[in-house]
Formats: sequence, C-alpha cells, structure tokens
Amino acid sequence: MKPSYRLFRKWDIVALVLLLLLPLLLFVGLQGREEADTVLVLYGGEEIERVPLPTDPFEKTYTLSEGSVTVAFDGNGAAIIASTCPRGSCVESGKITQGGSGSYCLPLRFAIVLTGEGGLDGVTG
Amino acid sequence: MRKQRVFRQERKAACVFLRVLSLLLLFSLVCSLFACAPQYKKINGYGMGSYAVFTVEDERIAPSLIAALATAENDISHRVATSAVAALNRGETVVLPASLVALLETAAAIGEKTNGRFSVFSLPETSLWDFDASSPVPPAAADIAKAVGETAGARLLPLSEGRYLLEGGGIDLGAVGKGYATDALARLLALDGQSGIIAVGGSIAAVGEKQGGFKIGVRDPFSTSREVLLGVLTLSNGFVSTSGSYEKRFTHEGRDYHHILDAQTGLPVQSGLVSVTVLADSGALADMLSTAAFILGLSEGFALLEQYGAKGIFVTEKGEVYASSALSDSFRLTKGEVQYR
Repeated sequence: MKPSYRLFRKWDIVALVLLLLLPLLLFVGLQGREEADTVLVLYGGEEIERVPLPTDPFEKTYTLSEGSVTVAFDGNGAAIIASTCPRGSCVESGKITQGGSGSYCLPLRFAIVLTGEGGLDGVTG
Repeated sequence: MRKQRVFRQERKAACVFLRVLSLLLLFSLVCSLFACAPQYKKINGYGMGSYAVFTVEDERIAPSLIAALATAENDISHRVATSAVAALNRGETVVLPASLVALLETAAAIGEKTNGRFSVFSLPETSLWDFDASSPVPPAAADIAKAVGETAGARLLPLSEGRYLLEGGGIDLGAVGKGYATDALARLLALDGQSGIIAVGGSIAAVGEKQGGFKIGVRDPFSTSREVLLGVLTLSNGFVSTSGSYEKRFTHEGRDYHHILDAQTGLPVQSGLVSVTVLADSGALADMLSTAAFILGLSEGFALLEQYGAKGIFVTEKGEVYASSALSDSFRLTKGEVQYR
C-alpha cells in the first residue's frame, strides 16, 4: 500500500473544527458569567450595600437623610415597595428581575440595581 | 531498503509534527481574536438629578468621569448657586465657557425653528410647576400668563470680552443638561482610548465600537416598569436621548399634566405623542431635539430632525411607532410594526 503524506486528514479537520469551536464556546460562556444574583443598593451614586438574592424573601427599610425607602428582596429580583418621596414612581416601576436593570427613587437619590448584563448596554426613556 | 524505511518514518513524523503545530497555531489565533473583545465594567454615579451608569473597559477612569459629571452640573444647573447659569439668572454679567455659549446658541436656533415653543429661557414657567410635590396642582392661569410673557421676551446679550447678560426670563437647561454631560464624559472616555457607554438618566452616549454594536433598549412609554421595552437600538459612536410624557406627571381634577411644557402657553404640550427618541451627533443636540420634536408633534418633529441630520423614533398616544427610514437596520421593535418615514 502506498503511504500517504497529506498534511491534513479527515480526523484533522474534525479536530480543527473542535479547536475553533472551543474558544467560541468559552467566549460565549464567559460573556454571561456575571449572573443577576446580587442587588446593589445605591445612595447618591455610592454603593451602600450588596444584597445577594435570598432564598427566603425579606424586606428592608433604608433610612436616608431625605427620607426612607423599603425594598423587598426575593429569589428572582427586588422592588422598591414603599418610599417617602412624593412622586412614588419608584414604587410604580415594580420589580427588577433582569441583570443590569434598576429601580430609581430620584428625589431621595436612592437606587437598586441588579448585577449582570441582561444583554443590553443601556436603556433610554 | 532500511534507509528508505527510516526516511519514510521521518517524513511521517514530520507530517504529524506539522499537523499538530498548524492546529495549535490556528487555535491560538482564534483564542487571541476573542481575547481582543473588551470586558466591560459598570460604574454607578449620581449627577444632574439622575443616576448615571458608565460602562467602561478600564475602571481606573471612574474618578475622572464622576468628577466631570459634577463639573457639568456645576456649570449649567440653575439650582447650583455658583453655576454660570445661576449667575445669569440673578442678572449678573458672566464670562461663559465656549461650550455653554455653543449650547445656548444651538438652543436658541432650535427655539426659533419651533416658533418659540421650545425655549431654554422658560425658568419662569417651569418653576411654577412642582411635579415632586406630594399633592401637585397646576399653577394659576394668571401666573402662567405672566411667566409666558417673561419667557417670550428673554434674550442673552453678548457683551465685550466674552461676557454675557440675560435680559428677562431665566435659563433652565433641564431639557439639555444630561445630554451636555454625556458629551463631556464621552469625550473623556474617547480621549482615554476606551469604548463604552455613558448613560446619564435616559441620555446615552455610545463611545467607539463594540462587536455587534452597542444594544440600547428603548423604554415602553405605556409601561411603568423600566424593564418593559418598546424595542432595541443597535449603535456605535452615537448619542441617544428620549423625551416622554410618562416620566413626571400628575392627575388633578381628572386631567393629566406632564412635565414637557409648550413655552408659548406655559402648559403641558398636547402633540399626540407619548415619547420621542432621537439619535444625533451630540448628547446635547439629541436632548434638545427630542424635547423640541415632542413639542412639535409627528410631522413637524420629523422635519426638524431632518434639518439636523438626526434620526428619531416617535410613539403616538395610540401606540403607533414611527421611525426614520435610516433606522430600518438598527432598530427592532419588541412587538408590532414600525412605520418608517
């Protein structure tokens, strides 16, 4: 039988495809590595607390110089459920569940933001 | 015979070596291509009465961005007593920075194109409305009429040596401030050689390019939740701003009042729109045009954007969505259909 000296054979092509796919899969996997599992609690733009999403839901009231805000935390998100601000749009905006999204009480300079990317770079409106 | 066998074995080994080497080279090449994609980090800040989020490649720029946001606010907020704008409003002659002069000139030009319905001299009117009050009520008609007169007669007088004096009215850059800040911060990020997103409230700057473009959600004006989106814009190197009647509003004696005022009447504008999103070459321009287009309404609003080479997404009270035809490839609605113009 005549010996073959081809540089690439069938299994080389298979190995090549696998090697090309591996970094792609790693890249895609790493992109979403920051999960929406923590709530950043902010006051005046400064982080005052990080709250991991809990198994057992609970509520916490934050007393600020401008007033107070109550936040409800549960396993898949958080919501501002009470605020002493007159407008109340933070309470109306409901629960945040997607990574990167936030709920803001601007008169009190208070915000909660869920960690993670959520697929968007920003939201206008 | 033996020599031939040794030669074949050596040649086979060389082939195997070359194969492995080629595969490893290709692997490392693909890895390095993906490694080039920047990993972005988010920084939170507060300024201009809004939350700011900076999405950057290198977070060491954070203190500079936060300081620049404070500087922008100190320059143009009429609420900051030491600002140039507050000094103008007190009737002082003020040396204005070139960026503020350019901003006021653009605002004046847009004001003229709207026949005075958009005005940054409308502080006498805006100060009558308190949307943050616990029980807001519309101002008295006589007070509004007086404020409209003061606003209409206002003008900025250039004096010698870069000094300016405000005659009448009062400057309120509430419709411009966040965009003005995104301009300053976007310049800083670009000078640092970074790509990323500067978001001050709903005013957003996309700096540089990202693989696949930056994805900017446009909030659904009919939902109170910030997570419910009208659609998603894909952009690189651009500025976006939205003006909507849903953000600050109250109901009094069965009538709805929102915060976008027609400077000619001093009352919330009724243009048949609930939101206007504008893409423009600068944040301040996007901010001004979104408010001015909201005031003008659908047809005149689109015409105004065309004059500035800007693009827009208009949502009517009936829920219809109209967008500039130039956005047909970069804007996707979450549901329904866009009518392109």
